[in-house]
Amino acid sequence: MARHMPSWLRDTLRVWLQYWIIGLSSIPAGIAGFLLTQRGMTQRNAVIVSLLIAASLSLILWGVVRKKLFVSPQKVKHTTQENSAAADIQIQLQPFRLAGGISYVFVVALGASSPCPNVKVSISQPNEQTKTQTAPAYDYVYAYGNVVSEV
Amino acid sequence: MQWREYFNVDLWKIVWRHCTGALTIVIPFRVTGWVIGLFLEQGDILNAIEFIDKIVTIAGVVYLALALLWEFGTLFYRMVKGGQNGSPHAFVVA
Repeated sequence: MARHMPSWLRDTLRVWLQYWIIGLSSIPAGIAGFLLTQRGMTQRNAVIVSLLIAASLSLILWGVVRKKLFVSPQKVKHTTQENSAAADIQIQLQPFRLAGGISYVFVVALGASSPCPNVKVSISQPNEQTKTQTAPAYDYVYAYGNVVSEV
Repeated sequence: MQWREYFNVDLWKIVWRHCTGALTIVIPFRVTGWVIGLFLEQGDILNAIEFIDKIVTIAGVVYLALALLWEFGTLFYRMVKGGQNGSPHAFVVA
């Protein structure tokens, strides 16, 4: 039965790779946290959310890397041809899952951070028609959902 | 094997491995952020870079603490249990 012999270098590189994955996962998490602080969330809560996102992403990434790089010979030996085909499909799907997860985090973070449209909505009455004429530039005045005037 | 032997033989290797691992992410990120900060004026991008640096540092330290706790706990558990298959030498770090 084939087994990996203990190796100081391999184990050290594995540990370092885990730390690198943590670091790389912290970049999108930090961006998301910064966008949340821009949105108005407190720094402390944003750090907590960012750390949770970083931990989740690093777990996903570590699972992918472990499957890609650290396949034990014992597992390969006992894998049938049919199972290896299924495993190939699984490995091919991993990047899409990863990209989907990262995209989801970005979409949620960007959606949370998008500024509210600065539009004044006022319901103008027929006798207030003259008021809307004095609105400043780029100030859109809506009446019953329709643009009345653009100055 | 006494507990002193476990801790003398294996512990420094584990601590060294994890501490260097944490430094390999914290130092490059900090240095990169510092270098980028030299060329940028105060603004949102610089604030974002500083925030990312902070997250990387905190994540590295938290992961280091958790990893060391895990390694200590595993070592202690195996020491108390007597090692794998009854042999205390089974888990000695290469």
